[in-house]
Amino acid sequence: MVRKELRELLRDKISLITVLLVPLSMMLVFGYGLKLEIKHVPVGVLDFDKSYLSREIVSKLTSNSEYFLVRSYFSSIEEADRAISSGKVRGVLVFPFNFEGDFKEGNGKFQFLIDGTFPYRAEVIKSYVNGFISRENLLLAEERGFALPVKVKTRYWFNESLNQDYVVAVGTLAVVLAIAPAVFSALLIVKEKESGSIYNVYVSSIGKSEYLLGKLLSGFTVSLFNLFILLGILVFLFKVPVKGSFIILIFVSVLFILVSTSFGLLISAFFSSQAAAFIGTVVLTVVPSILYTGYITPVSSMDKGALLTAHLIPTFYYMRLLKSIVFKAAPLSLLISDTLTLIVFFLLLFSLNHMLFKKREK
Amino acid sequence: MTFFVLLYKEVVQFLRNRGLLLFAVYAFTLDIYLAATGIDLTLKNAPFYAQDYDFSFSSRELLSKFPHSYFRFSGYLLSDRDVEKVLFSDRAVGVLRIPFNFEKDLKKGVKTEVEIIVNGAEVSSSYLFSAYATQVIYNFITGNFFNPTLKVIPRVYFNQNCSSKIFMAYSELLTVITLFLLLLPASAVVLEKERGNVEILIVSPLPNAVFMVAKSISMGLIVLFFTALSLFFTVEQIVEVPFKGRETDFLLLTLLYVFTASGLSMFIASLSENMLQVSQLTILILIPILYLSGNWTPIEAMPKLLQWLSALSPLKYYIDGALAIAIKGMPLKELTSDVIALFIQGGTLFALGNYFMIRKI
Repeated sequence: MVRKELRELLRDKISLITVLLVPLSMMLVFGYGLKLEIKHVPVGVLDFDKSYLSREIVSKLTSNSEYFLVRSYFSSIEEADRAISSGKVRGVLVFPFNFEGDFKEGNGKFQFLIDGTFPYRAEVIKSYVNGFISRENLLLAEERGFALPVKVKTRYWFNESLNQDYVVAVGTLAVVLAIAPAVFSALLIVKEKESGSIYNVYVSSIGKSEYLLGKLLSGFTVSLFNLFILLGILVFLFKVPVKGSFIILIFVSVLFILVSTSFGLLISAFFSSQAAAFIGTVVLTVVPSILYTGYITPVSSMDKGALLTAHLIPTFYYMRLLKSIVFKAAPLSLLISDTLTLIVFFLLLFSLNHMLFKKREK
Repeated sequence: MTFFVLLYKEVVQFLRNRGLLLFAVYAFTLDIYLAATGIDLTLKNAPFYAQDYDFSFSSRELLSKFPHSYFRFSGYLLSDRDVEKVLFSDRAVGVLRIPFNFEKDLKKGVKTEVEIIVNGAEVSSSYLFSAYATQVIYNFITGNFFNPTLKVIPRVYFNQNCSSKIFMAYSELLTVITLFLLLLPASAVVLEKERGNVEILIVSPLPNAVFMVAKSISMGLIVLFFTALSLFFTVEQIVEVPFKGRETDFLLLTLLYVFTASGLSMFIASLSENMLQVSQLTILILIPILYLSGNWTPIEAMPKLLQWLSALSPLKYYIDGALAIAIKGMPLKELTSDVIALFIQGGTLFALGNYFMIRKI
């Protein structure tokens, strides 16, 4: 069985290439590409004051950092509004009349208009500007001979340099391993249903378990190969330092592939059209594994309902295991329960498969 | 006339495929609802703990200054072990450490240090947490000593409280539309190939072109129908996201995008012999299109080469235009550059995709 599937795949050059390329490209594009840091934000300036101070602020804000780039100067508020609406700039600094004068009286206020279309970007831009103004105020206070006694120190645990790329790369590995094996195996049974060759299986002497195990193993073998490529990318290309044990990492990953492969098979046994099986797998794996696993949104901020949903999704446990092993070098005792849960998921999915797959047409 | 019969046949075939119909309904309703209400990149209710060695009036005052919309104070921790425990189990985004004699030192003006410990294994929240917490602490302390002379008033346009719901609802809708547009026409064609119906087609008097175009148009119409359903029902009624512009503008733009994407789908179909290839190629094309659209990573933050390449992603123009209509309330006629780009890409891809497909047969 396994040999037949693999041979079929090896003969079909285009499929072979794409099956290997899909996880690879997902890993590279999202591992490299999903950058949440915001840089080079195009901004505009609307300066009614035209004073030394306003020019000073603009130049300090844009020259000392790679955060902002001045794209254009406006002469009216309508013009600024239009530039934000059309997406030409993402923010506009507005200095009111007599800004410098107000500042000398101790009350220099100016506005920063931000495009809120992308909420996360808007929040980050806001934090840049607020941080900048705080620093400026401290400097001004120091000029007047006042030093602030309190220092704020930020420390990042598990990931000292706060390299977000590492976190994204590890998260991407989990998401890719949730999607790619499932999508591949989702077509394994249903394609025979559509072409009609499933009848050969129905009438042949092959047992139900034998047939399903054969399908499972063939999907698993392909994904295993992909797993090693992806782990190689993680360690050698993204240079993610793995703090925990490699053997445990590989063990839980292999376990997780088994889970996602049998999930794909389950879909495959359930539906009778390949298009439906494919779309179903994509829809059922992509959004949940991005949403409920702590890939980009923190698990700790979930409300009760979301947390409950998260516990129904295998990727949630795998993501936690991965992060614990790679970043925290967690001891075995902390990993046991999640690993057992994955095993239960696998057994559950496979026996469901066994129950649903009947050796005759409905 | 033949053309309409074909259109009818495709639509009926789609409706009879109950599995596909089920997932289409799911993707355009529940899926969008889940994404809109579940994914939030901004800092909301981030749980944090305090390790307060001082336990004075000032330290409590400082903790009370953390705004509730962003932070959620979850309790005090006594030892370093506890700090480790809450961070290990992902129960907190960060921990605030206030030193002994914080209040005394503050009053005397002696140097002291407040520490923010952030869970670095989180992606989006770790940066915003440290940035906001630092801001809160500075504001608190400077407020004790002097009045800041410089003030900035940030004003966020279109979405005052930076709710992720609005953005995520539309972004997920556009992604689902793209997925279906890439897959449906290709799978409709390849199914005929797999079944051997294409041979019958060749010997029939029906021109191949009519057959192919009917396939892409019927699938496009189905997607357009689901888009309208999702827009009026899921987005506006269930998720309760306001729609600023005109719905007809949005649907017109989608119609234009249907041409572009189904052209791409025909490319996939002309390359593929079976459904496995269709499914893998769909993902392979979908990923760069999604990435280059600037939906996740802002285009100005990409490397130069990718910035140029992003001009090729049809989704980029569609997202730009659709978000401008839906969130900013712009009329379609002011979005000429996006419309023209989509028109050119759509025309080329649709013609080429169908041409390749026809030649292949």
